Amino acid sequence: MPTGKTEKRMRWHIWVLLVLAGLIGTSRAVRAAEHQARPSAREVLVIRCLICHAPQEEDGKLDAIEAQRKSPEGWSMTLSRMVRTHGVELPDGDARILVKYLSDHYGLAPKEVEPYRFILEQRNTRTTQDVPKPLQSGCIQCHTYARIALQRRTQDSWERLPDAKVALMANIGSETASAGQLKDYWFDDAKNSAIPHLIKRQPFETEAWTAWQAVKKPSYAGTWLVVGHDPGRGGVYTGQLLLTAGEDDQYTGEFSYTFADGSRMDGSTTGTIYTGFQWRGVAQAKEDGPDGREMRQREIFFASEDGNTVSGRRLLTNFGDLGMDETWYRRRGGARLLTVSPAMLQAGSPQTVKLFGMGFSGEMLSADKFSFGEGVGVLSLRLDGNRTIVAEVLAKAGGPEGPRTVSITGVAGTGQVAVYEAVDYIRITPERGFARPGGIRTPKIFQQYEVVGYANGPDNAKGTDDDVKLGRVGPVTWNLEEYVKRPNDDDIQYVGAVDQTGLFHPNEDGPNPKRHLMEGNVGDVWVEAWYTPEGAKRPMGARAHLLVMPAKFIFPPIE
Amino acid sequence: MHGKNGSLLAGALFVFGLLALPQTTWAKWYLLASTHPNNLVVVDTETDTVVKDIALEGRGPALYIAPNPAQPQFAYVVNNLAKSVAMVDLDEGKQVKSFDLSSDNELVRTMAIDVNMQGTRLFVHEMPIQQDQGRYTAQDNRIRVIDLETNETLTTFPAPRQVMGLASSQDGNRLYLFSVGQDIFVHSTEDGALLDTIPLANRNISGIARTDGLPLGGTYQESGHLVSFGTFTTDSITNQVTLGIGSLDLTQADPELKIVELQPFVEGDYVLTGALSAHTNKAYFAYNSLWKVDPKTRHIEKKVSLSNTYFAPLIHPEGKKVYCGSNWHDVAVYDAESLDLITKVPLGHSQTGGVSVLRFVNR
Amino acid sequence: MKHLKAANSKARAVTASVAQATSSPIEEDVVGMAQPIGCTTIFNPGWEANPWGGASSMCAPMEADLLSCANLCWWPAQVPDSLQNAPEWAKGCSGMNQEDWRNLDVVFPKTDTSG
Repeated sequence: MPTGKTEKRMRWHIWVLLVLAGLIGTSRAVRAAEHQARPSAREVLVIRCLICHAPQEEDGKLDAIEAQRKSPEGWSMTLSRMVRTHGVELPDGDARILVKYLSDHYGLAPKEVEPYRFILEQRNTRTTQDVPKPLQSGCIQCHTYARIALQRRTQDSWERLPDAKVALMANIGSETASAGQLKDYWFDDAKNSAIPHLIKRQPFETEAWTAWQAVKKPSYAGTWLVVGHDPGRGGVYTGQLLLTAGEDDQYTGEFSYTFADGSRMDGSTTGTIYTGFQWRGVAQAKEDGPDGREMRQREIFFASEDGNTVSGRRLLTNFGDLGMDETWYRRRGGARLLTVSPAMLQAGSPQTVKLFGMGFSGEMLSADKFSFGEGVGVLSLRLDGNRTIVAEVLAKAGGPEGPRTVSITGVAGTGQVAVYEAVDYIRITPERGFARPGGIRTPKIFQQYEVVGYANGPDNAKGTDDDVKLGRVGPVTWNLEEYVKRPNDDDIQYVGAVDQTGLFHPNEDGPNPKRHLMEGNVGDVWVEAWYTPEGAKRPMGARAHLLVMPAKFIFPPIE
Repeated sequence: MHGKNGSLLAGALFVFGLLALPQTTWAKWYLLASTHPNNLVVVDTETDTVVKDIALEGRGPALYIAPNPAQPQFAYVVNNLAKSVAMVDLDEGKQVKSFDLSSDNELVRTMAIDVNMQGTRLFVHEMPIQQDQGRYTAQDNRIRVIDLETNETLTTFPAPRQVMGLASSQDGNRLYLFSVGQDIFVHSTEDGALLDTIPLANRNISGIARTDGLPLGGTYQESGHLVSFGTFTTDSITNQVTLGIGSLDLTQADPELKIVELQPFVEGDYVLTGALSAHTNKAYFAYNSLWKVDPKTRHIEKKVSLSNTYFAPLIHPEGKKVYCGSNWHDVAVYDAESLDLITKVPLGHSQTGGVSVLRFVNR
Repeated sequence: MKHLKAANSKARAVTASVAQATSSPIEEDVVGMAQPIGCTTIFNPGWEANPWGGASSMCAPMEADLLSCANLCWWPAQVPDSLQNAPEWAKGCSGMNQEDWRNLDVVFPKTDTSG
């Protein structure tokens, strides 16, 4: 008495047999012909996944898998889950092949990634505020909106999601309901509210994806000029990265960076380009000097659609807490200005700035070709190699405070500087940070703070629209202050310490027997910075909130 | 074991008939605690010492417990990753049977079980998932009714999702289904029909936006069939959240849910889980401190700091002690009147969960 | 949704973050935190943040509330779910006390995108 379901399963079994037979036949033939047993990426996909994901009758696409698109990290997480909860055997080599294949064929277009790439860059202190209402109660209790927004699925695939969630997370309904935002049952809310929204807004087929698939993807081999910012050291760093192409969108590279304080960092990297524009690399870097650290870094970068600019984050830990912001510019013909450093010009005193770019030559060194904007004159110019021009400039006193655009006649690109009379106030960035105790069982999660100086601007009033953001100022003195949230609050004694580079070091994880209730080393504190501008009588200060949260035991690639 | 059923049942019914509250003097109360990795620990509450540590079969963790009030030799414990209910012989100190809820292509987990006062029925709230190749399909949730004479399933009937607590009326005719963020549903144990919905989340009171409760059943049978739990009432006028105690007397044919608002729920000094004493009508709340509150005056009569978080305050069936559980390795025992710490009972293992993983049984 | 807001930190944290973001000339990417908008519920303020978005008076030590987070998957973003996804997570942890928590696992899902 075959029911509809068993009929379907029988049909499916026939499919499996046919496809397996086809595969074996194909690979045998290939082996016989070429004495080579390396299956194609699609064959790896079929071999590893077919047992559970039947090909669709209409197009042969593997059920569920070829009905969704996501980031390389998203695919990696899916594969991890298949290994973890479904017992799939997946050697590392195959996993890499599959992430690459799936990201290339079922990935996201640059336009689809751009608004949410911060979560892939593991900027985990950042939050999307415009979470669509249908997703607010059922989804973002546990997930960042960015994680959801980085997926596209067919209608059928979206519709199956709540069922899979219930299967994979037995208590999902009560867990979500207990946060007090859900009126309905979670399953019903998901089916009736979240999923219809996602079907409409995040469909499998989009114009952006169709267009991106048609684009011829560039090679990333060659020389790149690098401009970056390390919140730990401050200032701008510049350098060069040389990429050499290998097989299958893999590259190796060598880089050499110089920081604003003159220190250097050299390293080598290996990376892969996914979906034609997403670079994921691992670098080994070494700082110069006797105390220079050797570091393993992860590179999460995204190329612009024209392939000439690549920007992202150089992660200094595995958890996204520390990292450097970096942009690579492809070396091309012609001269191009990339950045000006330092970018703060105090009116009335001459200052030396460095213009970094490519294709500079002595012919450019004429003051009348340089524009630093209103009220800024060029006193002298000097070429330092073909990538740096050292300029002495003077912003005349009494001119308006504000940003200025730097340009050179006949040179592409611009730079930005800010003219100011005095630093009127400072702020700490981020103003809300977080850290976690660790070091014994779980990793310490650090928080790096920076101080940014501001000028009041033409209206000379603090906190108005015309205030001028100047950049990092120093030297700064850092300290913690208790955020008094309860009677006899004493978090400050336990949470950890901020060092004089603005880096907060959390304390150890685990129960603290010295503390009331054996509470761990968590708490709320203020991080304070104090800066005394030259000649000022009193320091100015700024405060930022630091939440030292409990240790965490799971670190997915997308939080 | 069937030979023993008759006499045990008769004995239990006799005692039950004599006493409105189970203040038995002929036997002792034991605390049952579900622990990691897959153990049921039995604590003598006279001496507050562990008398048995029963390793269950298969996988852990041991979770929700349903004692059998009529045959207190037996208790039922959810284990095997919430996919089975183990039947445990407390006298023999071993598992004697496992009700496996899942089948080949149906993954079934539970977060709520109950045995009625008569000891004749085991109710299991089931969350089935149909598993086909590459596809999950969430099925409607249901209550499985198991006849404890034959250990066979009698029937199943549809039930809401998100159920985290079950409780039987004293007469065994109705089954109360509790969940987080929803109302309380009353089903007939005869035919599974939905008899009533007792508003909890959706009380029709203008000015009250929402009432959250964590009504997980807990030790209701041991407490004279009084279900009690902490509540959080949010008003729509000032948006204040107020801590309260909710109670439902399952000896009544048609019980009213009573909610008494007690204290503001504020940062810095709050408690979460609550229970109402059937003996003294005092409410106890625990989290980082233990509170005794008089619902009549709303005053906190006593407040003590705990040595660490204990989020499950259970009132001993005789009303004189409060047992506080958590995921820590011990249960802290407090005097119900003075809130003085009497002792801590190390269980030898970590406790696994919330309120329903600790129950009392009279042997 | 106003009536749903007060019982929970999340809406408040979002609201506060939005308010800060819109009134603040500071860097665009510093508009608040993902965490209190993540997984704190009114019933289990042991993780991440309390219902008011802070870290005071949370469950202490958090190890006293850790296993039920895993067993009932209350905190999928912070603690592995031990019913389905990581059944062995707390295997080494038999009697949670001042020392035993050291035997818990830390789960790092593999990233096959690193190079």
